[in-house]
Amino acid sequence: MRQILTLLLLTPILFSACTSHENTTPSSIEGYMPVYSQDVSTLKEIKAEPPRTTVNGGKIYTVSNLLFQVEQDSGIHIINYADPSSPQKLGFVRSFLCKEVTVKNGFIYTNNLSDLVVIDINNPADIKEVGRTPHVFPDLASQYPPKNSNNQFERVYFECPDPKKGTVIAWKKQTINNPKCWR
Amino acid sequence: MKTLYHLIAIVVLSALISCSKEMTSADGASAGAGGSTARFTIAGNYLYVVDNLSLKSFDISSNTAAVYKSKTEIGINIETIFPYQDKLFIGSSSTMYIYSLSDPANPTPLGKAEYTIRMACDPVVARDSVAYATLRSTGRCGGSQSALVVYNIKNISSPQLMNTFFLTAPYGLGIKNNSLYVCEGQNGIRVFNITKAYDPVQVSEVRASNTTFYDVIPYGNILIAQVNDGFILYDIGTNPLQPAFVSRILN
Repeated sequence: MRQILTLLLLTPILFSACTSHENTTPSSIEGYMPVYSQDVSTLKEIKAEPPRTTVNGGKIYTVSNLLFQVEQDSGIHIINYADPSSPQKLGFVRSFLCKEVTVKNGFIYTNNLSDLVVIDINNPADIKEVGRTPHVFPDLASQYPPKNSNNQFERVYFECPDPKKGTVIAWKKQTINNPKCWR
Repeated sequence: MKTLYHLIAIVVLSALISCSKEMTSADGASAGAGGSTARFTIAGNYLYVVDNLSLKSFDISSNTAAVYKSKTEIGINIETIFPYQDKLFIGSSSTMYIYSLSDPANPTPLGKAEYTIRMACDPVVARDSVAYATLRSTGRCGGSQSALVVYNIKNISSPQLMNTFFLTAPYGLGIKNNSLYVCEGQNGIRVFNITKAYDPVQVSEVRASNTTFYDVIPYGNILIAQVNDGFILYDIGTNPLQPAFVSRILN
């Protein structure tokens, strides 16, 4: 909670970096839309769910006959490929903003928002978070959109966050119209 | 649902006891494998993660907790981390960094190589005295050329550039024996014979329609390919230089 407050306190500083009256702003450009949440505690919930469709397959990790695949920003698919001709999805572990996965001794190490979390999957009936280290990945969940990592000078446009809508928990790349904020 | 749980339990258990010799790490535990584009990796009892600027180490010997040990500033635009033997290979948009794990809690720099092609996305893998990196300059990665680069790392403190192959849009890569697999996005996987380690020769390629290949894990006799909508499995037990389609996950 304290971190959220700190971020909220920082918000005016972020806004001060934006210019709202600029004649050269493009009318339509690829930029970022804030993704809001009213309830960060829900987003920190790690839990097992039934298998689901892979929509945006992310990074992979394997140990023995198990394959773990990130579903971008949502969680981790657990797949058994003991019979490689017919891989079976066993389940899904939800972890918001998930992008990375490694596994050892029946423990998943992944990210949840910007935190590093440890998830015990040794008892499949009781898959649960057993450890959490906050802010290991500050760049995975920030209050302003990322700069182009290969061109720090390129202007990044985004829709100005509206604190009334909640806390910004992610940024979605899309075409935005008449952006008022950039960095 | 309960039977599912039992299934997972059986699979996890068998995962712990049935791994073949080549997949067993020094401490006897079953060793997993990740893709070359990962930002997390496990080596021994440590978890290593990279963010844009630094490498952090965590002691995971207790399993249940990741105990923070150290943070090492590496450079800028750090993107990938890959373990090989007692070393970490770290890729940034301009440089390949090599770190020693002789003190696993505190990785120390051994050497680095600055790419002649700047501003690229570049995972690294290594074997014996050679390191392979892909440099991709399409899309957000900026630069002007994409390539597979080959480094001699016999003298680890100053890797020597041995070869450069210009490619279309390379992503992750992986090695099994004398085969090097390089993902080329929508252009499939290129397979190189690396019998002559510094002089890879492309011998085949794998393609699939409407599919973008991002990364691979060669694991035993299976090549696992990460693609846009899931993964594809290929048999590389029969002939590692000619991956044969086995299955694709049905959503």
